[in-house]
Amino acid sequence: MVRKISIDPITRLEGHGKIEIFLDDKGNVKQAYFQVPELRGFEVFSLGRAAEEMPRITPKICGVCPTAHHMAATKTLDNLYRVEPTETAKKIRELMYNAFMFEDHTLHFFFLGGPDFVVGPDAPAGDRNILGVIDKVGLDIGKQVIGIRKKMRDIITTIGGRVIHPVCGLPGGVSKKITEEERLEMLQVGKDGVEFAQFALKIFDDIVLSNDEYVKLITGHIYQHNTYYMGMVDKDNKVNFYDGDIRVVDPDGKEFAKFKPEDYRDHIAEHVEPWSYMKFPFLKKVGWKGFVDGKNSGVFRVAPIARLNVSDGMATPLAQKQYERMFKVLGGKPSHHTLAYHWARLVEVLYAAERIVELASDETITSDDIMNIPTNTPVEGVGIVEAPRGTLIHHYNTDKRGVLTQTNLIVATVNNAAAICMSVSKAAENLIKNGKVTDGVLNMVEMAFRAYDPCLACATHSLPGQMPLIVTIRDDKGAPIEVLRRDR
Amino acid sequence: MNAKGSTLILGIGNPILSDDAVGIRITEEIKELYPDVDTEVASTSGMELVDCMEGYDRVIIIDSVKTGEHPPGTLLEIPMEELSKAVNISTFHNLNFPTALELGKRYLGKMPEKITIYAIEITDNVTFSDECTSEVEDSIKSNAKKIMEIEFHA
Repeated sequence: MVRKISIDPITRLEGHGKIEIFLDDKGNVKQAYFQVPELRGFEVFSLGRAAEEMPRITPKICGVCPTAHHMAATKTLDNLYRVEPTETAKKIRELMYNAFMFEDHTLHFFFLGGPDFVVGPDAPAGDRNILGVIDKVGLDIGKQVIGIRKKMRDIITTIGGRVIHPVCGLPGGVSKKITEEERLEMLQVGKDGVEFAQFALKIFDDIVLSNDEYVKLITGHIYQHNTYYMGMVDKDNKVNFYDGDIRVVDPDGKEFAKFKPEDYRDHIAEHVEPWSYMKFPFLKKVGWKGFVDGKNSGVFRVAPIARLNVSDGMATPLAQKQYERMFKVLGGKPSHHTLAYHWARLVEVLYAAERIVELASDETITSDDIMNIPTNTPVEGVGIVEAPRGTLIHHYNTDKRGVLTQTNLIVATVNNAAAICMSVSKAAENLIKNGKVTDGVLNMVEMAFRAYDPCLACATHSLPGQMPLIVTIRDDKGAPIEVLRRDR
Repeated sequence: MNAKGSTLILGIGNPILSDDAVGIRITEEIKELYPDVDTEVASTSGMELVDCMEGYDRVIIIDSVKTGEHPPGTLLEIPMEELSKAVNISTFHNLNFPTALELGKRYLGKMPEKITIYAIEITDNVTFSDECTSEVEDSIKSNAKKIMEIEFHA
């Protein structure tokens, strides 16, 4: 006989994410902290293994962005073995990577972040999901989302071997070529993707932008932070997810730094707080001034709106038009509006689809020349990609046999960690005055961090399979005044 | 669809996060003992799980749970309705399982009529390791057999 149990995700499960809001002695918000469970010992786990295993090991860190880790690890191996991938291999990798970005962003908009807007921020929590979107937009939308997602995942499977944990990346290239038939299929999927992305942007237009209240919410001060931004750009300073230099702009939008991935340590340092295992990356040359924005604070942001802020535009024509329109509506570049992440994400979806079309239109992508054999002795390598949730950095040191002696990973959500705390704080500040907690604080706080699409999935495998949201509001002595929970 | 068997055993977990892997490990054990059984392992939740289930009449999920109320390695069953109650909103970067299942029913092919969820009580799912903690490790073989006895009278 097996015992049947009930599960209460809050009281019985350890290790969930939580938000702690501390008030001062007047009952106003002093600081909010966004905490996630600590995962321990990745470095110890990886040391002593062959660096070549990393593209297969690191995707297992988390089931949400395996392709991003696979690609960052593969690029780190290129750098470690000082081998330039062949042009064909670069195109194949980038094509797969854009399919991944498309799929991941689409999932976020329709399943997670979008429902806040499409169904409405005041709608009951139980309705703010994809099923609520379907009820509002119409049955066909569900079919379209599921359909395009499947096609994009088929591209990842064709190139990567497996969709969950791809295995195609090797130092200097990829393991398998693309056939002409596959190229034509991918080209069609890219075209379907362009159509879908335009349709998604139209939904955003019809439902969000035509609603003055939503526009006010997006451009209002509650969700605004004037920070630095970081993201990858190509040689023309246009957004690129797969390869390029890292560009940083200041809160006025002026270029502050531009560097090669291997120089990241000259620009990014990590601040440690006693209350969190999570480190808070900041710009070394500006310095850590606390959880504050402005030009004197080294806090920077990554991911969609950051990438668009650091770039001079999009490399594809339709996305470029949307980019121009977005900044026009938002009041210029850079945009400091946190909720604009959702909009920027959709512009990136369109870019990803257009880029797939470009890459798949290039007949040379089916060439047999997919691999340059590495011949150099490895020492140290750094690889960076733009993951859906922002800049993802892998850094390995090895002995001369290629056995790992040191590893450092700065994952995308961590790059946004300080900003997420600040956004949560600010949203709470506006709704908690003199010890009085206004209704709706949970919704507003939730919207603040959800815009960043924070990925904490590494810790959510054990049932119930995802983390509930718990917000604890504490007085100036640290005693809880109110606990808000979203789990049912 | 297709030539799939009528029942799928689906192990869920992170293969390199200590006890989190127990669902995958038990599923692999079952496959070794009973090669004819359809098995699948997954390291994620939401839609990906639903993708795996398409075409089956029945799915047996094996996962981990951390209640702190049972000895590590204890085999527990979580009724579907309990799971729905516990996670009826998607909070972070994935779709909750009941919502994903509903989407699957509406838009994918055939979805299983019956889903049973087993969960093994665990201790550590925050340390990177490809081995489970000792009590959980020791329970893998017996839990694999137990599940097969209950489900298939094997």
